[in-house]
Amino acid sequence: MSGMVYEEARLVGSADIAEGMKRMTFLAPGIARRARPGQFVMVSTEARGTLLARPLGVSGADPEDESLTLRFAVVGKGTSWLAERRNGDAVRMYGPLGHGFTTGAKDCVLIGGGTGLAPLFFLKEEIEREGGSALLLAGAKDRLCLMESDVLESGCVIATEDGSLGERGLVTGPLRRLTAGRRFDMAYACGPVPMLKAVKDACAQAGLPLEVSLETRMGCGVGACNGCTCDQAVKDGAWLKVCKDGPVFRAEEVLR
Amino acid sequence: MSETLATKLFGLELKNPVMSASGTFGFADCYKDFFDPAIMGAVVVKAVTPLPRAGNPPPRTSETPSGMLNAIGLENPGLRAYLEKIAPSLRRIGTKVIVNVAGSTIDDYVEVARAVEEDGSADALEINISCPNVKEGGLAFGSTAKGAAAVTEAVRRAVGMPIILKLSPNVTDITEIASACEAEGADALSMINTLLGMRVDIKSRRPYLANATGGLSGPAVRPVAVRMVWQTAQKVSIPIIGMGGISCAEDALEFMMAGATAVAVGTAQLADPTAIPGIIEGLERYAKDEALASIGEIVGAACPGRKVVR
Repeated sequence: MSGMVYEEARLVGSADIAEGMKRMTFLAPGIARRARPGQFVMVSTEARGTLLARPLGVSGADPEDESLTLRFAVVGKGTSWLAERRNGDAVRMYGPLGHGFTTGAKDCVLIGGGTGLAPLFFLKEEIEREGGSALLLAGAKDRLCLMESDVLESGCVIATEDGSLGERGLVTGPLRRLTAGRRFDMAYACGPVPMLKAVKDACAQAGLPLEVSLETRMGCGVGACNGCTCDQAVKDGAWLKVCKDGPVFRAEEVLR
Repeated sequence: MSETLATKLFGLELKNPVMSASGTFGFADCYKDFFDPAIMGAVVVKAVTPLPRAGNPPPRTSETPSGMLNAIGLENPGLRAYLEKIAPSLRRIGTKVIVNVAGSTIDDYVEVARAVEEDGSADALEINISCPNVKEGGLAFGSTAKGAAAVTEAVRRAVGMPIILKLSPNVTDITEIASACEAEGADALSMINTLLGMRVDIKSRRPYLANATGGLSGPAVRPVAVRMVWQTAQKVSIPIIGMGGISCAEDALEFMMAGATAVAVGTAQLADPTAIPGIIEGLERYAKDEALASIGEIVGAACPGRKVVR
């Protein structure tokens, strides 16, 4: 099922998953049935003075129970408004939007940093559902900033900059070590640009194909306003639209 | 659909007075999942320049209180790509098509206008002399009566199809520019383009937008736009397409009562992909509730001096 829908999603559950980070699950049948890992939704807010919808990556979607999960950092007026919603509240959103990750590879490694972990939960589920294996490497500044740390502690590789959880240092440390000793078919990454660049180098050295998801502020989310260009996504002298050409790109196309 | 909203604009029969605003609706390909563009009175597509333009570096947009700043910089694939790839799909769209024409020189405007007329893919041209985000052309013509007149005169001589001059609010007296365009043969006016604005990023202590300044749009500018339409409607007798912060039917009605024959929706559509159909429905409801035979009856209602163009 393809296409985008605009719907009134009903909040059915929310939780604090790290300092300043939320997980919210909505009943959103239209979007939940269509969403693929790596796609995003535009969430309308009613915060005072705000106007534009907020782009948030889909962090889980279940077509059976029609639920849509978002994991996000509370950073400004829009996300604060969203974080304050209570169970039963309706939130207008449209999606799913953009190009998601290409799945189908068997043995995958997923690298996420900070809020960039959000779409990888969904990707991991999907890869495993399709019969592949997905090893998740999760990086964060410290234990408190790592979303869903209790979930990630079992079965994932964790690196924190201060060593408060997992190994000390950047997530590229374990990535280099793992790719040196084991042959993966495909890598996927989402996180801050310096992390993505380091992951790109590590994957290039290991001869491992990589898809990355970029993040930027957006106007419309559907390719109408041309406002979501970013320095990292340029092709043949033209700016790519993160919303429509991405947000997932092949690493060699972007990040120069 | 009722006939009540049918609107005549310089000889074109529109289903209703609601259009997209240039630069917020792509080439009519972005919102098809949400509604059929054929429901609109006209589709106004984004600016076309003779050669492709990459546009400005990011960041290009910033939300502001009840509005947004943008400095896209007329990014477009250029005239040739328009004619080869885009025009064929516009011909099949099922409503009137208005192509926004931009350039750095008068010759640029003439070149694009002629080519689009010959191609037959548009019903009218919107001549953009008001983009605040490019270094040359655009606003350079739109900020003086003399410059506006020169572009209008040249394009008028080049094409027979209707031309709409899109005016900038970043001038001392917009009615003077409007009159100059009318005198040189403009068929209508689009007003207003964005208001020049700016934000400073207090963390980096630098302008927030890469282009430093950008155009302000959205509900924040609406009263300014309504005022300018109202003033201009009392000075000119060509129709005005009103725009600037229209988010609902009530906003559209304000513009029409101030003297606009038709309206365009821009920023609201970016924020809500169903804004345009909602506004059309709202106007239909209003016309029914007020027992209007035609929505044109309210055009210029707030504007006693208006030589009403319906």
